[in-house]
Amino acid sequence: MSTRNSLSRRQFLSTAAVVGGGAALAACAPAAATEKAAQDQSNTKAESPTATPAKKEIVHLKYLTADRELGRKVKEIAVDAFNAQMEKDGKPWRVDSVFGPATDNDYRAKLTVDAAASTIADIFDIYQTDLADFAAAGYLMDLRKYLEAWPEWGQIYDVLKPLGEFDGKLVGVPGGSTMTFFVRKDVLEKAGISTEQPKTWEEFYARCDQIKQKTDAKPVGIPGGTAWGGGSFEEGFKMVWLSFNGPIYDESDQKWVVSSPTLLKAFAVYEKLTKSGWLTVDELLATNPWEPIKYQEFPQGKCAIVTGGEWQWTFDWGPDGATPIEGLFEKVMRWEWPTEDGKPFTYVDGGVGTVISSKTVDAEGAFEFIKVQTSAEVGCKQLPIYIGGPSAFKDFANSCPDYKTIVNGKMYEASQLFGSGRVYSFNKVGLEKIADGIAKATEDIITQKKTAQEAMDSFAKDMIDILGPEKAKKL
Amino acid sequence: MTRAQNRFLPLLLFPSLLAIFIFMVLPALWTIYVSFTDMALAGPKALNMTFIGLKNYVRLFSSEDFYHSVVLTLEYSIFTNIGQFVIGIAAALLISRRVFVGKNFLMAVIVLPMVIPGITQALIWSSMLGSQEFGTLNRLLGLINVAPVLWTQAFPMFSIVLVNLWNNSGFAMILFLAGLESIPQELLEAAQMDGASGWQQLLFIKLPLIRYMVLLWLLLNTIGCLGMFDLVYGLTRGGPGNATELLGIYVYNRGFRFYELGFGSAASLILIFMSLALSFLYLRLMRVELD
Repeated sequence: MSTRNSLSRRQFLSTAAVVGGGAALAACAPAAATEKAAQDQSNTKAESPTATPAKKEIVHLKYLTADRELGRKVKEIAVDAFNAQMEKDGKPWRVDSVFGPATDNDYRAKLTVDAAASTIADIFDIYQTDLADFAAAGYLMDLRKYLEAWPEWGQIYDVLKPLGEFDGKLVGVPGGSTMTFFVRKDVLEKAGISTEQPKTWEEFYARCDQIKQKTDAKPVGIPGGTAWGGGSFEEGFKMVWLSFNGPIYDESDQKWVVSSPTLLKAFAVYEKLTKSGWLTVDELLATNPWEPIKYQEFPQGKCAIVTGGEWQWTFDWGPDGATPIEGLFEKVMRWEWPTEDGKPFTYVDGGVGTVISSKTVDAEGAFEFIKVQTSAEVGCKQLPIYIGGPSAFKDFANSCPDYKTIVNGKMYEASQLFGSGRVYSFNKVGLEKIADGIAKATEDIITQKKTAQEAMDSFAKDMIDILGPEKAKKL
Repeated sequence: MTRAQNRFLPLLLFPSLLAIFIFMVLPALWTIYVSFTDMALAGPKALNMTFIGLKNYVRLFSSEDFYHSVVLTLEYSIFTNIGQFVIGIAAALLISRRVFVGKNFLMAVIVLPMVIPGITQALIWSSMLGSQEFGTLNRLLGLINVAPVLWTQAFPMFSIVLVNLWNNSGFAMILFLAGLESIPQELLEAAQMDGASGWQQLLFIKLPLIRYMVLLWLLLNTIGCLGMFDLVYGLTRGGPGNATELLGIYVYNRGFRFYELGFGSAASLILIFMSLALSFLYLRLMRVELD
């Protein structure tokens, strides 16, 4: 090849310098413009006595939620109410809805990636299992000063308030639901089996045995295994774990307890149910295990006991639910979680649904939206479309009388249980990994690959490995 | 090339080189760096990542789940390669016959899935393989009084291999067909005159003459199988349990589901090294063939 045709190092560098310089100039121009605009904006803010922009320029806030039909309808009510209210009051904030993936895992992946890339919406819905990790990563705004100055804050059940906290930060308005067993009362009564609350696990086992002997139904479908994802922990294992009154997370050294006598007892419940043939093992190993268990067998009376919260009265078995059960309130009843000491409990679950990004363009406006979204006026409008759980506000029934009777009064009843139910804040860093580890351990047990003891040993090893010895310990 | 053209050349090259550097080289280097840290997408490590040396790799090589994923990925690659080869060569042989009726139809049927996005294919197949009586395959089985099968639960590996065969056999067919069409007709005619049967022609003339094409297809297909994500994620998400957690899904789960970006990066680098090792092997074989 002749030297004339080849590209000399000098030529390449000089051209690269020219193009690179041009690119840098091009990149700098918008950056400079943005900087100037930001400076102007900050000057405007500094001149203003409040955070409200002096020129009343409209500030658009993005609100990200999962794209689900019912959820979308109720979110639109809140957004429309907020925008109308702001326009009426002459305030500069408007909220635009943004919809993310409908499925849990995809939505969570989007949230995480958006948050890490600092491109997340100003306001977004979050899953409870992610709350601690998001707060620890600095993605969430601490709303304590706003919430504690808000008169409505006093109306929230005290028992729920810690569920919105992480590491001293208060990141949102908490909501709650109660988690129990749901029982096919008609199936048990028809077979002459007592429907009374079993107080201990032994009594519960006896009831399962009777169901197996006297009916065609499978006794129980407690979530377990990896196919149910986070639900294995959230809708099943954590209540079983709590029922043995042992340590779960040691606040003194901020470590998860990943091996203990009480944890072993919790795993042993799954072992007992599996070995006795009472658990819906095949269904739990299906791709979407809640479908055969909650949408097919329980509505058909082929599975007698499942777990869950108030949403099941509406989304799962209500008239507009996934699989309506005719005569639902006559056929289905609830049992509390049996315990070792014979004192059954209702678990008050909860968390923060909507949070504000620490990178929001306007914190005051975003909090204003939270206030409107959780207002009784909006809640009342949403009631006929969608109600998945009880209200977190003590006075909600006063502002919205229909609340007492809707869903046969089940939601109102549940909110009355907030005071007496059991609460445990799982808002700790690493919860998602613990939940995943529990899913794997319970799968090993229900597939009988491991005993309860072996499953706990593997779980402990994995957790210490993944979370590190500074976040997990054995007792 | 004139002097003026010579001066203009770097200008044309520079944007591409810059894009490759920014969008490929830098992220690759960053991934290598991240794999030596405990960087996370959420949790305290999202704020303060630290350099942890080879800790991620040590953890990876002592993880049963990782080995499980490696084995699954290799199984998946082997099954899909065998299946696609059989379907691809059979279809190519049929289509290469001059008097085959329905040639265009067969070609369209085999090539059509290639234009459907992977995630859409996964959704189509999750309806086909749906559990109980809701799945299309189960409905068909119901016509002959066979009880419904929980395909993705009872036969998870078979399910994902089946979908891949449907999706990618067209690519094998196109390459093999190109190879077969390039075989000089005189060779086949001479073999026929010597009394070679169809099988003998296939085994001793056609396959040896298209072996370069086969190796090229094997290289591309194996790389695709090792990095497989969309079809499997859309169909089983790695389940039931971790029965279909191929390496691509494993990397995604570690990085984006459990936020462990450092650990996920380490796993992805292992995946890249596996692809590179196999690629070098195939390239070596191809070079031998060419030589």
